[in-house]
Amino acid sequence: MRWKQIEDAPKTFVLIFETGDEIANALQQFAKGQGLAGSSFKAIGALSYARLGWFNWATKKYDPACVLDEQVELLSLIGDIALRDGEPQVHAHVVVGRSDGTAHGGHLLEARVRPTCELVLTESPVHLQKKYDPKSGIALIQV
Amino acid sequence: MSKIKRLGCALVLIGITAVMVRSQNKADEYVTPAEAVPTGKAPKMQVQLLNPGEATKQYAVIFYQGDEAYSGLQEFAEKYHVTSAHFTAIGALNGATVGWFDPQRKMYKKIPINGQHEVIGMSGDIALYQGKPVVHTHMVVGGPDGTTRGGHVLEAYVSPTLEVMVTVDPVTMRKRLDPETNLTLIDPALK
Repeated sequence: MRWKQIEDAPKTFVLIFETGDEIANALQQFAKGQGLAGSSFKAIGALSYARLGWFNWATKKYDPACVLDEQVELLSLIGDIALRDGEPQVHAHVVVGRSDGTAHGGHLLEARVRPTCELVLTESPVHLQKKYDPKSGIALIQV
Repeated sequence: MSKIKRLGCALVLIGITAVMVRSQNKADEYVTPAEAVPTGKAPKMQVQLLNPGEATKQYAVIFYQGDEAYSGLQEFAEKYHVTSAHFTAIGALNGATVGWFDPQRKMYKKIPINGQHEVIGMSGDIALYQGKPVVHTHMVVGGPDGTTRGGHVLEAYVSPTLEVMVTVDPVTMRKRLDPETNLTLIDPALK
């Protein structure tokens, strides 16, 4: 993954992923490295593998909604970054398109790029904090 | 009255009843684009300005369990005097209605989304029509097997959260009524 800062105010980065890059992990590392604490991003591209989650309200966990071990278009990836216990936490959702044009989607668990993924990220000066929500069992942004 | 005439009357009555039931169903299944958005349905909504002092404002608008997001976004737009904005959002919901624009009827066909779904992608914009902000937003949602559905957002009941990142421009974007579609469309040239 290569990246470049393209604007100062608002602080904007372009991240370019290459074949074999795994988006969820690389984004998490990037967020940590840059100290991101209040970001939003979007991306398009294509993937050779995707594992997507669906939030199961009964178990309070992400069920693997679908695993696609095939070439798909990354139609839309939208997400944000907020702090949880001082650490940046990436939250992203994905829609992918299969070879017949049907779409699948869910919470980003794992996505392997082939051949590219182009992501634009905007970081704000104000930090966003997440707090554990006992009702849903996950950390939600509190403002 | 002959038997045939009586039978004819009965058939006509059945026909009228059937037509009435059908048109009632149709009224329920379609909604006009101009229908007003009721506010006050997102009491837990929280708003934070992320870049104080800048001309182009960035907001985090966060919804929680039970909030109706479309109504909440309308409320946000009115309260913060938004005259031009665009946004993206992710989160999850339990119950929603999306619309599909039927060009023949010039109305949105209602598509119910039942149960827990990921809001995989929501994007939209805000512009003024007759001095009032109008929120226009689309979304794709995903079910437990990863299959997706989507459309023009009519209502979305958040569960447990929806994170909306809004960019508010320091200009005014206006909409005009397009008689051909009955929709209000953004016209960048409109003063």
